[in-house]
Amino acid sequence: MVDVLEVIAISFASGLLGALTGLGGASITTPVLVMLGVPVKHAIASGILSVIATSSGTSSAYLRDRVTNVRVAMFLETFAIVGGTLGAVVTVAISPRLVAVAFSGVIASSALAMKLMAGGLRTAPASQDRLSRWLGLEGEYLDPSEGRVVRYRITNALYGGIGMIGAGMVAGMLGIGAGAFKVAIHELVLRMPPKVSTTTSNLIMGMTALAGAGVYLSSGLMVMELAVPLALGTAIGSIAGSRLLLKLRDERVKLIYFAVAAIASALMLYRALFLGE
Amino acid sequence: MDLEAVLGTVMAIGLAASLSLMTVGIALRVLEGGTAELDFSVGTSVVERNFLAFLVDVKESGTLSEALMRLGIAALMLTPYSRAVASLVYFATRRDIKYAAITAVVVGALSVLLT
Repeated sequence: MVDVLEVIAISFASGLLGALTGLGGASITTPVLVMLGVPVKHAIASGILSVIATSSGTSSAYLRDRVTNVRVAMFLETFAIVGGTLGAVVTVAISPRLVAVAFSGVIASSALAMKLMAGGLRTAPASQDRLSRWLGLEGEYLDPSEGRVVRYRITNALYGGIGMIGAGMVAGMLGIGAGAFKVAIHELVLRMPPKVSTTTSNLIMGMTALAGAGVYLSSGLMVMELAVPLALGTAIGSIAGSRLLLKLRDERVKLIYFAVAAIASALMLYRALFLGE
Repeated sequence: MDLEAVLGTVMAIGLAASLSLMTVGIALRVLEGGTAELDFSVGTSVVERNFLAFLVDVKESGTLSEALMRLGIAALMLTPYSRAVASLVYFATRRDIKYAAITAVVVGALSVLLT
């Protein structure tokens, strides 16, 4: 079993690594806790609050930078909340073994999604669809690295929204931010610029996590004594990570992140399939 | 004040409040219990009808640490909710009907889910 200090240390390290890679920490924290003896559903239900903490901390900083598109986030959240709720309901209903299998599958898919996103520049949409135009889904932000204001338009709003239901389900079901999926939808479907995509995804994560947490509160799976140190450690780790002078956003750091997450998930899967939960 | 500044402030305050309550709550829990080991027996899991019941039951907490942890969790969950409410007020006061309606859907859905 684990104690409070171990949980804070694990979640701090995950939050730190997550902030350095822009990927969040729950994908590492949950399988590590399961390996230490925490039942997988309890780890997920208790860990979902750390996603709210990370989202709130990083988003408040990104909002100050005026990169996040709040209107796009609000539109997509109408769909993401549905997904987050459904995902949590699924986890409550199915066996822990299935949850562990799903978790491992999602980690692998996230790595693939990140690989897809690293594939090169996405071109801006030539035109907007009618719904996106009616919603006024466009924006601009100052890009310090390019030294200019970047203007953009979003398109395929409805398809993006439908995609958000799926991303929300993953997030609610597994107690993670599912940032890799959300960013993939933002950039590949909605044609959002990468910086806007990451910051807007961060904002939406908190809302899907809240929807999931609402379900877990009534499920008996959320352990307060686990949820509190998880949220604390992850929040402090992610704040510390985002403030490090050396912003290690190198692709190699992301590879390290996924390697750690993959190993932890594989061990969790082994435990679930061959040792019982 | 523009929308981003308002929402950034709401989220920063909510997070700071929740982390403060949680820090004191978990520290007290360790001191009260004399151990830092986590207990997964039925009695330590949260089982509430909904978030509103969870909030109301703060007064039924057996220990100060439990009350503070409940308040910390409540403050954390209310942070994104407050962000949505603040957005609704912002859009409504600026007569942005489209986004006031969209935000109202989000606030309404969350309110139903949490109560």
